[in-house]
Amino acid sequence: MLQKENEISVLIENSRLLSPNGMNEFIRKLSAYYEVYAPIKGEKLVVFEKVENPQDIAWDYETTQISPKKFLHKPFEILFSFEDGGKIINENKDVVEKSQILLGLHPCDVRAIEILDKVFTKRYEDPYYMKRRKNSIIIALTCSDAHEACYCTSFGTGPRIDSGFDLLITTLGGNYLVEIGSARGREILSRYADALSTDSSILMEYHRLKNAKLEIIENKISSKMDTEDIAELLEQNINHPLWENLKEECLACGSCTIVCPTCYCFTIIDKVDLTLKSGERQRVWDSCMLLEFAEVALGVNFRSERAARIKQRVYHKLYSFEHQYYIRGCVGCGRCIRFCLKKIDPRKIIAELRGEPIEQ
Amino acid sequence: MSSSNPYMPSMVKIIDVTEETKDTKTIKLTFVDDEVRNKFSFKPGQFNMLTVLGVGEAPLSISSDPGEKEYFSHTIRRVGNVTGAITKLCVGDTFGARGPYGNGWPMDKIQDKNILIIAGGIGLAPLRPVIYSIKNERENYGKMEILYGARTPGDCLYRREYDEWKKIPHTRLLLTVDSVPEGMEWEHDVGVVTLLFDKISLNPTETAVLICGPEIMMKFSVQKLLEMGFKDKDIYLSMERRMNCGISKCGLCQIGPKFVCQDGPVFSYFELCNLTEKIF
Amino acid sequence: MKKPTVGIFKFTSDAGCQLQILNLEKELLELLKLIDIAYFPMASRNYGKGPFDIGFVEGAVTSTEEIIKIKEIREQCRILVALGSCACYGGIASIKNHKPQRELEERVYTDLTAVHSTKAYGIDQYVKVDAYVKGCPIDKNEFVEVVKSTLMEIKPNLRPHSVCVECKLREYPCIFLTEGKVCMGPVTSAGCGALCPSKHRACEGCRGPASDPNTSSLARTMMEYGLTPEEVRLKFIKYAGETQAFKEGAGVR
Repeated sequence: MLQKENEISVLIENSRLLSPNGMNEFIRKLSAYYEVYAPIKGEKLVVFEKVENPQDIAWDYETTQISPKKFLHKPFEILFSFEDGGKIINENKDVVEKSQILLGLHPCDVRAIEILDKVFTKRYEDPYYMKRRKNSIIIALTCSDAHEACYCTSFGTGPRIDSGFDLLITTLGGNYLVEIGSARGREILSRYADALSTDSSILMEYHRLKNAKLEIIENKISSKMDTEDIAELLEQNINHPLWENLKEECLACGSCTIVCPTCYCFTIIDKVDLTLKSGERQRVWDSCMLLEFAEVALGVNFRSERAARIKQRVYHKLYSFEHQYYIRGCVGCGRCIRFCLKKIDPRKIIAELRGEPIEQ
Repeated sequence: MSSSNPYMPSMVKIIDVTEETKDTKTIKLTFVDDEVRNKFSFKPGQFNMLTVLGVGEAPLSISSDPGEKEYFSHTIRRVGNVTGAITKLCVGDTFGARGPYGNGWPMDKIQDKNILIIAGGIGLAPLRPVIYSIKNERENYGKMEILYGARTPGDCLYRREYDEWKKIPHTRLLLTVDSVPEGMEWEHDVGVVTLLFDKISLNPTETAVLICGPEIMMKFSVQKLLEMGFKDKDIYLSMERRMNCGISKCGLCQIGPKFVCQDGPVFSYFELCNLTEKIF
Repeated sequence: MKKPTVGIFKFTSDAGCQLQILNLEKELLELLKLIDIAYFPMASRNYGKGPFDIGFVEGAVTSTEEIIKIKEIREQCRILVALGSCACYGGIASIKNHKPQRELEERVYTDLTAVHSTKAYGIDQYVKVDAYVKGCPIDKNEFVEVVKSTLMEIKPNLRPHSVCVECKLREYPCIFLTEGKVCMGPVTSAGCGALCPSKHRACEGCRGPASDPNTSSLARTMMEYGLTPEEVRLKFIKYAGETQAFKEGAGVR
């Protein structure tokens, strides 16, 4: 009983309630000191962009095409510049010095960043990613709804989240319940926000509302991926006929990997200017779905078969990540399903490997 | 950030160039910066990322004696942009390098065993440091047999060193070429490298096999070795994959859950067989 | 060192790709420090004579005279580059290949005695081509890349994957999915920066097949989106109907 009371008091102590005006004011103040990025409603899609006006924020957005990983691992990035064919003159002009706030990340995208953290720190630290990562404050946002393609509950990556963020916002009945996840989060909240209420009974009521909302979302996520013993399942099904069948459908266009919040593969290229001696070394997102991904000199290609590339994507996410980083590489955000023209669905792939009937 | 940025190449200077074949050169290098040079050491089978600014970067095995501290070598075949650009450079020219990367050959594990080296074409380059290492510490290893196959006699690497290799105690060198152009002298075998396998005198159960060459050659070599009774855990292969970073970040070089750049490039055949992605 | 000489030649085309070279404006002056454009009728009346270090050929080959001419040019050029989709694949002109020759000629010309046209093909139907700059018209930056890499004697870094990758990287909404606009992007070679999708227009496939394009799968999806087999066929034959991949897409029923 005492322990429970203690938990409640910690919960209350780490919670604030902000009114719509209070939230807008908070974000406006943050924008003065930080680059603030949030989901902004565009003509056709919601896109993570710099916040010009807090009122543009799409608090109830479903998902974005490109995940907020783009602020940490950029689609295009200059590693360094060089002059006269030999002198390296600028190591990292692309890396931001100013701290950035990534606001409005759904739990799945927060978890995806934790996965990328492992990729970019294991054995060697990637200085470009890490510099941005250390300069980033993460303000998560509880989902307002679940979409047919969502399957975060299969990986425990949502819709509930209790770590990985500096602040967590839940929109409830027009107000904003803000929970503190780190000392840095507490600091910016106490410095820049005027809380509507710190009254414990009111806050408790909001926490009850949040729970009710999460339960509704959880119940709505009916389509799941059975992840039990998935490693063994994949080990046993390297030659399952499904891979050859998928080859006929998959366009190998690469969209699924570009929209994936945990895909990180990149290509490094040199680009020279018209002196042919000065230029930049850049990196660009690459994709294992593309034919040229595994091609080496003299045209030798280790994954020339489309089926091998489809397998690589699925196995990397659901098998290799666990071997490499002791974590699963999928967060169930559903982007690869939503943005696939052919609606190729990892949930169905796993179900079919398990020999379960597929509902169309 | 410079010292801690693993993507930054350091400048190397060419101190010697040896023409090996019509498209391959061995380039002797030393780091320009004293500190980098003093810190650099490598194990047989490791590789560097070589940079020509403006052209790009490519992974290349180190081919010199690991005991040599002042310089290191790469044997470079002109096959792509970077190798093409480097093979155009001359003594005194500089370019970039970073490394060494990779696990290298398991020199500790294979001590006291007989060593069977099987190389095809440019695949001899990452095995040359092994030959040097064994020569330097001859008493730590059993008998050594080197089987090397190339397209023609003119395509054989390190020809000037064969006599020296044969003089290493308990060492045999067996050579073969796919074909001999008319008018060229060749006193060794003709045919693919697996044709030399009948001449192997090493006991399969007491021998470690180190293989590097084209995948097709590695495939047939492994098949035949297994038939001959060599164990999959004693057969080591150096794998080639596309690589852009060398530090397990770019993701290009994966075979199943393995990063060839860091977990490899050397794997035992046992390891490779049990991966979720088939090699050959 | 003497600057490499360049010749720019026109075959059956609307000259739009050559115009893209002139559209370079600022970079063109920089480029002229590196190369000597010796033959470029669109820009200069000085008709320089070969041999040339690099020849850029615009347009499809679609007459016996052109077949002879392209072979001559090949002999004069150390490096030969196909400039634009007509030179790469036959381009728009190759649509005619799918109708009987005489029927088309009768529709266009009153006097048929002077017409000796052949099927419209990309130049590699007749000669060896060292590099391809795709697009209708070409992307001028890709042209500059090819010139730079040719001068550096390296392979140009032109990624041959689908337009989808560029479209997604730039965060353009997928018009196929969001607006139901049937788009050739998934099977078309990138390099344009997803120009048409950026303007809410479907990719027309002007850059020809991407690497490993699954054209039959895309054709089936197009029909699911309501296109008739004939409409799908027309999509695939518009620019690169002579390529194996697009032929396959065009043939799906």
